[in-house]
Amino acid sequence: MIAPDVAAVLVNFNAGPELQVALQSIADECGTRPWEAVVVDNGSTDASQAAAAQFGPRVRLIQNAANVGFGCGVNQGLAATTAPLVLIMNPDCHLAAGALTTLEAELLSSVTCGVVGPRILDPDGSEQGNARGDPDMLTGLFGRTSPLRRLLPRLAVSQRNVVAREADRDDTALTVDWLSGACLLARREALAAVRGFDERYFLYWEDADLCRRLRARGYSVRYAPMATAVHHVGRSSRTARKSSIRAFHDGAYLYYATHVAPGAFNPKRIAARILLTARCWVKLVAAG
Amino acid sequence: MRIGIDGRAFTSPAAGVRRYATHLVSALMDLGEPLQIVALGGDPAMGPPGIEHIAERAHPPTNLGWTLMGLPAAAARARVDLIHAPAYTAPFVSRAPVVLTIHDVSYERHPEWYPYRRDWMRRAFYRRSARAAAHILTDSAFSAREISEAYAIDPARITVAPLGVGSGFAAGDPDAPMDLPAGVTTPFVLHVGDLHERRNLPVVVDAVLEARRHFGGAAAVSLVLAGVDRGVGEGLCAMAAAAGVPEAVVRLGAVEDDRLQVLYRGASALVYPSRYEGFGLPVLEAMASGTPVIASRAASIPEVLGDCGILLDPDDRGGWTDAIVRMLNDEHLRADLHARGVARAATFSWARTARITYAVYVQAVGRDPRFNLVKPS
Repeated sequence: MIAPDVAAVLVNFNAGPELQVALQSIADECGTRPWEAVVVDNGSTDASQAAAAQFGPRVRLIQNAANVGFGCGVNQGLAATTAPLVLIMNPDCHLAAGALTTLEAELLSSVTCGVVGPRILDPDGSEQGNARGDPDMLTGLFGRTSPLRRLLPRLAVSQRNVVAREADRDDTALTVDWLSGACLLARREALAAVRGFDERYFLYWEDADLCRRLRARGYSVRYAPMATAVHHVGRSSRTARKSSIRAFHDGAYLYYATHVAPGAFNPKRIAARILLTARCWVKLVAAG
Repeated sequence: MRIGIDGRAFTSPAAGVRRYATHLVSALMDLGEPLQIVALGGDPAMGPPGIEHIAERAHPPTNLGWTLMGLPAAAARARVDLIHAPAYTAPFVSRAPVVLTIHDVSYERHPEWYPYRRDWMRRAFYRRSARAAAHILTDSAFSAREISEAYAIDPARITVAPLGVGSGFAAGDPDAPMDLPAGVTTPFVLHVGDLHERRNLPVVVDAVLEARRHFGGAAAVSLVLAGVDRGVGEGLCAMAAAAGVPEAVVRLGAVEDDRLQVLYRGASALVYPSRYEGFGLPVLEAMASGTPVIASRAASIPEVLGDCGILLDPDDRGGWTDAIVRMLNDEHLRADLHARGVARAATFSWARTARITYAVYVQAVGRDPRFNLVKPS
């Protein structure tokens, strides 16, 4: 058997029919080249397992009894595969035609490029803003989906957190701080150098953390808007709305405590804890 | 991930194989990856320090018996995930997948250089080993092409992991006193490697004799041969004696690493007229030592040397004479090649060899132990 040169890792939780679309888009993109995929299922109760089984021996299923979180699931998938190129993709995401080739060309164009991500669109064609600046204190206010950013999109602080707009103009790749974990093409050696995702994150922010650690090791993170993926936002997380809100804020604090204010008694860290707890509480109340 | 390496490689009669196995294992252990290395068989005292050793048990006689029966049995006892056979021979059948390193296939491409009675047996053994292995490692892109052609193996099953050079081979202080072996006088040009037909040595003996005859500045130059004689040594000395200058060729036999390093630093140039190499480690060692290289444009040699030396047709006798004379007289050329060689040699590290080798292990084992280290699944 010829060893695969691309391994896709999909962490699935009740994505069922969309998982099938995702795998089909990978199969179409790979064409005749040798590829492999691992679906790490975090205890789905829908027909996800059957969807994965349709693709024969190329697609293997790792069944977890419980939900171990996104980063841990990806790491399981990485441990079970060997191909030098790794496509990490959400099951509710699919690649547009030519996306894989474009991402691969960008990733391999420089030996220091560790990870590359495509333009990510909503199913209705609107931009999700995949090219991102490192989060800081103001991300909570001017972040990707915040009302303030929508109100004041031209403000420098809004631009900082989502730099996609700049990339749209010329349609060439650019180096960014971080990319969404919804769709990433990475070098296995780069991921191995940072030991994959930090498994303390359950969902959200593990992607920002990964890109930050890759950059610290000298790898660049590249946004390639010439490639496109379509992402049904938060479909996987919608089935568990409240725990997602908690995971988001826990992850945000973990990221802040790890990368911005590492000292245990750093006042910024304490402030972050208080603000994030308050924000989480507001969101939980709003979610009903 | 537990890797079993054929422990007999650490005591191989071939100096290159010993060096490869020892440096590779040390560099693999320094990678900091989740990796345990077990020496399967061989002499426990001879492997790199700090690795586990599994003793040989009764097995059919000869190296063939050891490789086909003893090695897989030892691998099973050691519960390794993979067997790495570091030089040519590997089990045909084994529970653990086999990664095999083939350093060159000169015996397949030029059997006329190996006229031994039993050589067909060795060739068959090597061929079956290669075809049975899950993956093949080799030292140069040239060798990868040669192996693929000689054995009809898909190039996707072959990975190139160029060799490295140890830190002992370095450009020393040029003014430091040089403790050269007895019989060696400056200026001299050096050849390192077994004295074998494929090394094409008559061309440099001729070139050295010619240089002494016609050019004043090179009148005292000699050729120093460091390496075991495989049958052509007498003839080379006879050529010098016939020219009336027996001192123009100095045979040292096998030379230990520390003395070899001194020879490199003292030599005006490394001369390497070989017709066939799988890599050409002396070329790399010379570059690391800051010694200018004159080598043949053949096989893997241009890949290793790049543009950091003089490449010549192996049969261009006049060219070899000119190159040796020029090297002795042109200080600027020597300084330029010294600097470029040292810089190029720095890119050939055993750490890189180990890194590529580790990626091959991961692929052959079919899982990557570097991930999923925190939460149990």
